[in-house]
Parts: sequence; C-alpha cells; structure tokens
Amino acid sequence: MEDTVSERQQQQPTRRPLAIQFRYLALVSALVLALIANLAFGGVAIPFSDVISALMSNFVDHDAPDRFTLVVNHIRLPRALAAMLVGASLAITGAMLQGLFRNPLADPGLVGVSAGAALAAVATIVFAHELSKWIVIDKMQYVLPVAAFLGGFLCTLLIYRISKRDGHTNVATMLLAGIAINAIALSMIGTLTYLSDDEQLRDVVFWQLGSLGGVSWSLLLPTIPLLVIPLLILKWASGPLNALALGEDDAGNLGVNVTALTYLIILAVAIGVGAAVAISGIIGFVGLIVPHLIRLISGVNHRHLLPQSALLGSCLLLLADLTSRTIVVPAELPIGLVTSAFGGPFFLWLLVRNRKRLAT
Amino acid sequence: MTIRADDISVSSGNKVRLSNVSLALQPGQLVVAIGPNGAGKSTLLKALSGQLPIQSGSVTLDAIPINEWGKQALARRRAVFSQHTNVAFDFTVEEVIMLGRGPFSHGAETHSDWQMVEQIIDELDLGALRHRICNQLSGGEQQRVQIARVLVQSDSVSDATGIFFMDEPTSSLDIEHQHQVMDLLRRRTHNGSTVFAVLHDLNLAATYADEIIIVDQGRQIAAGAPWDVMKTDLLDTVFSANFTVVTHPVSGVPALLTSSPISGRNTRGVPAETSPTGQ
Repeated sequence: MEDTVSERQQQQPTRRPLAIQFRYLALVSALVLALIANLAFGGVAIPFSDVISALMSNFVDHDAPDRFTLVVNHIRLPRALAAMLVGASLAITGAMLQGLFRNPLADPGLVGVSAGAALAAVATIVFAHELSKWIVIDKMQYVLPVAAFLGGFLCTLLIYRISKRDGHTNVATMLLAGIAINAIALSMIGTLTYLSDDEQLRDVVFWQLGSLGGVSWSLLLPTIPLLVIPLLILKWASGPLNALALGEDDAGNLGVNVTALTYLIILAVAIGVGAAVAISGIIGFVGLIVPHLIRLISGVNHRHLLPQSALLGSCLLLLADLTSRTIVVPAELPIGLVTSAFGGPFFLWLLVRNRKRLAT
Repeated sequence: MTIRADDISVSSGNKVRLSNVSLALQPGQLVVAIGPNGAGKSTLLKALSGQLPIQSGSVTLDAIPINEWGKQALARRRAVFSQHTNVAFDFTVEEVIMLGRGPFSHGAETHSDWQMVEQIIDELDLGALRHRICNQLSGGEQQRVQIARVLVQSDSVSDATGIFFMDEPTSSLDIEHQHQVMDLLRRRTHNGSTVFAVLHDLNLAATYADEIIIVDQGRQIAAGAPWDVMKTDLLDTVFSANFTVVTHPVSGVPALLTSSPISGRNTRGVPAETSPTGQ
C-alpha cells in the first residue's frame, strides 16, 4: 500500500507551471526580437541602437528627429504594429474557429472567411463613387473594416450552417464549401477588377495577394480596436471551447451555452478577420499553421492555445513581413505570397500526416 | 427529494417517446431503468436531466421546474454521462477529466479540483492512462475516462449532493470494470449522491440498484426493489424472452437466466432425452 502511494506520487506530474511560464517567456522574447529585427532591416539597415533610440523618442520630446527616427517611427513602426496585430488576430481567430468546428483544419482563409471579407472590401472600393451618392463616405478607412467585417460574418455564418449537422462538423463538406466560397468570392473580385480604373486596380490586386505595404498610422488606428476584440474574449471563450471538444450535448451538460458561444465566436472571427483583411488583404495559412504549432508545443488546452497562438502569430507575421520586404529589394513581395509559400506545403504535410484520421 | 417527474410525456414528430411517467429520485438512491431497445429509457434520462423539452407534465429539481434552472447552476447540480462521446483534439486523459470541474472553476484549476481528479483517477484505476491522448484509447478505456469526467462534476466527494445521470455506463466495459463502475456509483449514493442509470445488463441492475424501473413502449411498466420487479412473467412479456429468476447463491439478489423464446431450452438442438435436464 505504502509502495503504491509513493509510486503514484512519483508518477504525479508537477503540473509543470514553470514549463508553461517558460513557453510564454520564450514566445514573448521571440516576439521582441522579431519586432526589433523587423524595424532594423529593410531598404536601409538601421543599427539596433538607433532603432531603440528612435522608439524612445516617441516618449520624450525630440526637436529634430533624424532620418532613422523618421523611418522607424513613421514607416516601419505602423507596419510592424499592423503585422503584429494582424498576425495575432488571424492566429487566434483560426484557433477559435477550429475549436468551434471541433476540427484543426478550419482556417479563416481556407473556409472562405477572408475571401468574403476581401470581396466586400474590394466592392466597397470599386463602388465607392456610386456609394457616395447615397451615403457620405469621407473616411474610407472607417468604412472598409465595417464592410470587410460584414462580408466575413456572412461567409462564416454560411460555412457554419452548411457544414454543421446535428452538432457535428462534416470536414469534407466544410473544406469543399470553403473551396466554393473562395472560388465565388475570388471570381467576383476578378470581375470587379475589370470594372475598376487603374488606381483601383492596384488596390484590388493588393487585396487578392495580401500586403502590409499600404499601412500608415491613419489607416491602422481605426482598425486597432477591431483587431483587439478577438484577444479580449479569449479568456472568456477558452473554458467553453475546451468543453466543446466533447461535443455540443456534453458541453451543454457542463453548463456551456453553446448557441451563445457559437455566435460569439463567429462574431469575433468576422470582426478580427474583417479588420485584418481591411488593412492587409488576404493573408492565408496563419490561422492554420500557428495554432497547429502551439498544439504540438503546448497541448490543446484553449487556455494556453489561444494566448500562445496570438503571440506566435504576431511573431511569424513580423518575420514574414521582413522576408517580403527584403527578399527582392528594392521591390517588395506581397506578404500573402510569403505565408502561402510556407503555408501550402505545411497544409499538405498536415493532410498526409492525418491521412488515416481524415479518411474515416 | 431531488428530481421529481409528474406525469411527463415526450414526443418527437408524431412518435410518442414517453407517456405519463411519474417518478421521484431520492438522495442516496441508485435507480436503474431497464427495458428493451427503443423503450424510451434514454428519453426518460434526458427528460429528467433537463436535456429535452417535455410536452406535458413537469420535471422539478429541488422543487424548481428544471427548465427554469440556469445552465451553469444546473451543471453544478447534476452531471450526465452519455454514450458516443468522442473528444476532438488531442486532450490528455487528465485534461478530459478536468473538464468535469469546468462548471465549478473560474479560470485556473484549484488544489481541490486536482484532489477530486486524483481521487477519481485512483478509484477508476486510470493512473496508467492519465498522460495518454484520450481519443487514441480503446472504446472501453475512453468510456471509463468519460465516467471519471462526469463523476468529478459535483460539489465535492465527501458530502456529495450530486445527481448523476448515467446512460449505459457499462456498455463497452469488461466484467471487472463493469463492477468497478457500478460499485463506485453505489459508494457515491452512500455519500448522499443520487444516481439514475440506464442499464442493459439486468443482472448488473439487480445487483446494484436500490430501485428498478421497467420501461416499455414509452411507459413505466413497473417500479420497485429488485425482488419486487424482477418477475418472470413480467420480464418475459417486456423482453420477449424466457426468463428464469433464481436467488444468487452468493449475494442473494435476483439472478436472471434467459433462454431463447423461439426454440425453448434446447437452443443447440440437443435431443431432450440426452440433455442433462431431460434425464
């Protein structure tokens, strides 16, 4: 008896609070390093010390900002901040959508949420002139996120209704419906490109490929509150999402209001993805790769999965942005191409790895 | 009195699933519903646990209509084990069991949450599986994990007032674990908990139940202590089989033996003259 008790205590895990904190520490450090690297490298390389002093100059009065300070604070910082927020938002909404669908393949890009948001945004741009006859549009940067949100919301709702039956997600239906929605949205975006003039055309292409090139403070500031919304609900949503892993009935028996949770997640996903699309276009695969990596590193508990996904998403998008700015200097690659170049093979690897499970 | 059903009827579409059932679950009691497939046992369990809307009659929990309970409050008061739970994502056994503490926790797990999880892991002999990925276990193992998850969904173990609804908790378990689970349920009732279980194994029901309810075609046919309801003629009609009820030589409970209703005793076609009973 004595033996079995002590044996059991030996087997008992120490809950590894240190290991968990270490993961957060590692992710935060990686994020800080990625941010500094993102600010330092580019068309001109800026020494780290100058990056730091430029950042500090935001908090102390500086009468004559030098060239580096201007580049860091007015060109690179808003863009880096956008990359961080968009990365966090896409990764966390990916993780939430996967929790809701009870399936790790539900990525906002794959199931058509991003394309729907982009279509709404592009339509708003192309028809801005027509629209302005009916309503006053003087601040496009406020209208775009709202339009993108509406487009994303409708697509999320549609995909949810199509692929859920009696509380179960049909994975094949979900992915195939995603292909269909993507095809429809992209063909409509393509149609709109024929209707648009030259200046609009550049914008439209930007939405299809995804880019942080156009980000400025005036574009970023209105979308910050929207990008932050998915981060705000993560604390509330993580417990119910864990319970939902047991299925809707069992989650209900554990006191989860599944209907309310569903609409909250769909709303948060639409807001987060809509805002991300509004400032950076379609950036695919972040919501797929990041939560998957975190599940491999830290397990599937949403209490850690959601915040860690946000951190890693920020970090990866900062690096993807850095790659897109430096790989073909002086030109710039759209960031969506970079994430897809890494994400596509990763997705294939996921499919091959889960072949057995997906076949059933 | 914890759960009370008054004259409840449930129908889905045109089909009547339950008609005019009344019963009461007392604290400290293990009540088992038995009956053939499709008799309405699971429907009864769902109606009593507040998962199904009822068309007439009323179900009350602590004298309050069960549909007026908030979801969270209800989850703190009663837990439900249902079949066909499959866990999405690679949750470990430990994590799945901890989900049962969800209705009682605010954010992080507390020391007492872990104490209850440790205890149930011990009681159900899950120590060797605790770090395994739940959805990679065998059907029977997963079932034991889900039972553990359901049984930690109560205030505390020592002065338990929990109500546990168990829909065929022993369906894919081996003999050892069938008894382990039923024993544990009975121990919980000794601590003041209430258990309502649906079972297919009549001998298991007769061994462990304080009260047995026989359900057939949506109606409650009989209710009472094992010796009062396990009657040959009643069981013969309800289950369409030939029953023999004897006293279990060791435990003294009713033990049920069945034979095929079609070919009678000689199911293997043994000539009556040479069979042992024929001599």
